[in-house]
Amino acid sequence: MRKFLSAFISICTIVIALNILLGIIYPYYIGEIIYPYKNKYLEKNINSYNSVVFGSSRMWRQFDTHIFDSVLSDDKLFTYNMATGGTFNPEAYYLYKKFISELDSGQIKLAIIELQAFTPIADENIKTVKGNYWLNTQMLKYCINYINGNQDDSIVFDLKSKYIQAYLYNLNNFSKLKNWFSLLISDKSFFVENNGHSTFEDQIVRGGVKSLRNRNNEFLDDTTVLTERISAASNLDLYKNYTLNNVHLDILLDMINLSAAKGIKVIFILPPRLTSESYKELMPVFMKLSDSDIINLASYNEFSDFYTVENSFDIGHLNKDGAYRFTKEVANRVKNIIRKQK
Amino acid sequence: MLFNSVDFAIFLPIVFVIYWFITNRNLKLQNALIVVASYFFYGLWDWRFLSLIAFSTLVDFFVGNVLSRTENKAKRKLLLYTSIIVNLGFLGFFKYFNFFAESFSDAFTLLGRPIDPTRLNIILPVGISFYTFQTLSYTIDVYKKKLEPTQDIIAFSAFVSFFPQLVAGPIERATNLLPQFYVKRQFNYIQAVSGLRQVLWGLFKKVIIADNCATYANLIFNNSDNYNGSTLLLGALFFSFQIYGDFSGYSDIAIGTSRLFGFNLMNNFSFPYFSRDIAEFWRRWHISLSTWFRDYLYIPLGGSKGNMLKRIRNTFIVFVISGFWHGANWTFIFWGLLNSILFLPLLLTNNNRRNIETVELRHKIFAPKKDTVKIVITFILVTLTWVSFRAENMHHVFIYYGKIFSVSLFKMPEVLPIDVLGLIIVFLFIEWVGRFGNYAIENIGNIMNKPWRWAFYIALIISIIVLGGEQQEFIYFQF
Repeated sequence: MRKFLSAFISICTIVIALNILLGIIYPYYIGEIIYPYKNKYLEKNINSYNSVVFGSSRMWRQFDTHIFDSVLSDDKLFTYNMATGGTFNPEAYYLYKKFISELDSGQIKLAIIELQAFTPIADENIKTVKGNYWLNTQMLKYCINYINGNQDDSIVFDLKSKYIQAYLYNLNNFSKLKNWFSLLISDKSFFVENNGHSTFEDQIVRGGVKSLRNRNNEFLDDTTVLTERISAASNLDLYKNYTLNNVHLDILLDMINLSAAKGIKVIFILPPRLTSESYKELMPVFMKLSDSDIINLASYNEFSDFYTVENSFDIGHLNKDGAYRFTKEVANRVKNIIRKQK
Repeated sequence: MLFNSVDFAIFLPIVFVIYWFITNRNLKLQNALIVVASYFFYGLWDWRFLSLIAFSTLVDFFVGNVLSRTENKAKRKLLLYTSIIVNLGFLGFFKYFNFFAESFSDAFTLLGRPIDPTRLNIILPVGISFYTFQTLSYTIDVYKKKLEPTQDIIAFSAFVSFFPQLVAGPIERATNLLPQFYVKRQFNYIQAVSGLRQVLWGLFKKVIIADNCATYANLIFNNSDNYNGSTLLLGALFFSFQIYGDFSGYSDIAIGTSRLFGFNLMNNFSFPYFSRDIAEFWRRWHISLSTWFRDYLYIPLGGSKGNMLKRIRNTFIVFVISGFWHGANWTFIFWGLLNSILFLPLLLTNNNRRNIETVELRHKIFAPKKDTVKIVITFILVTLTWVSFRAENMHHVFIYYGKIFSVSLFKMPEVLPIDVLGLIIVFLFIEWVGRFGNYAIENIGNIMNKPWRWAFYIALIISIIVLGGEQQEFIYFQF
């Protein structure tokens, strides 16, 4: 028995050691689909850029770096859009924190980050590498505390157990070998071109995903769905007094401080077209941040252009025209912040 | 609980440790642990059906005991029929009730007097076809006085519910397995290592071969209207490897797990896709079921004794019932019928026992051309019969065959996953090289020294994690 157990344990130990070794070798963004290519590109061309954008598809599709840089030409900003589709809070925050930890001081001057509501992990994503690669112990702690902070008691246990499951799946580094090989061999130049920005229309023209066109058609078939988003964004002040989630606030302040240590000015954007639930969660946090760290583009009363059918691609995203207006607005506001600081 | 699940990866070591370190001094305690673990294993799927296993166990234990105390022929027959009726009654009720109700309704509709059949909304208890046949073999053997009935209810319960083979076999004979519960098991290093190796190989077959093939077999069979003949043939090929990887993989895990606990189960698969004719295929495929039918149906019917007509009749009966055992659908009966038709020429020419030995001599990589051709032809025939096994209904069967045997067979396949085909080739190569063992990598110790052997195990473990397809239930759980 002793011989059997020692052979069995030895083999298991080797397998576990190999698993740990892989975890050390892998880049921090191993499970993301687009970000790794953008990151590699930026690393190679870091001297050509001094400003970055982080967030979900909203920022990827709506933030046109050329327009932004042209508005801020006096400030000599050269922006690269690092945002990718499906990166939510906490994943997007994890990527940003890792990104700046690898930067040398002074390489980047400005970071524009989308403020995002916390997204519960879906059952079908728990086992996927994309769904859990970012879930290290620190991020698990963040998720658990976040859930304790603002979720309904009846679902807290379920939500936490999903994150714990995803965390355990993330310990399996062998499952990420496919992602690693694909990172080593494939070249997704489309995603890195145009300073990392791409509208939905651009992708459709390039022969992109068929489902994108369907999404657009479905939205155009029934645009009444926008009404709900408009109503959510019409009375943002109502959401200011909802419960503040300190865990969310803490991570944002942490990001601001870590960035400042590397000479980076962070500005968080409250985007338009979110659900009322999201605004309820984000507004109290948003109000706690300094005016020089935030830009509010959500209000329907102020930015009705962001809620018209003509400027929409689907319920949550702006199209090319909308992206133009959105970026201009961000640029003007950033300009004001910079002027004030000077 | 699936063998390829985290649950089982936790369950097995716990039972193993308790079995060898806590209950190892007391045989009864060890057997009791097996019963508790087995009921827990089954109960995680649906605890309500534990009562069926318990009832079946009690009936056969009681019948066996009474049989041993009476020589009265009529009474003995009555006892035997009681066991058969109880066991097959459960099986018939849960598995075949709706099938018969619908078939009668269809028959009346054909006769112009449509009736609305009563359908029961019942789920099929996992593994009922397996443990029913296993307990039946006990009673029949006791009736035939081939086996002394057991007086030990715990040993008998452990025999009926033994978790490694409870839900998908191998269907053990009481004469082989039950006596193993009477003697104290000693831990044997060679047996345990071989068992673990077999578990590993079974997982490879299930997780890498079966689950990856399943993705494409499902895609093609579920959308057969949209694909050309060559794609449908490829779909049948994927299903051939899916069902083989799935079922033989399950058997390997079951046999290997049993060996970890000091038990030896019968071999269930012996490289069936290297068979040179259908008769050989059936000696190598699901051996525990085909020998069950041979011993408890074919031979009692007269077997190969009597004139040719009787032999043909017996063969047809066994194949059709075997098909029906697999599922309550005409597609399974048709599958059994197809196999009997393929078997017939061999029977008529007395060639059905021609290929007994494993193909080709040892130490040669390639088979002689003649054998290779026979293997390929047999494989194609078997693959074609699987169409009926996998199809949804008879209409689907005929449409599928119709498309395969059309000019579109000569077009390029519309689905061609090179990676999965590559995995199949690697798998076939390992199986071919290892075809003289009970399982492909049994004799790896003779080929590789320790460092290489360990590297091979580690590579297998990693490939199972990395290359595994989407987790699928074992196909044979539904039978």
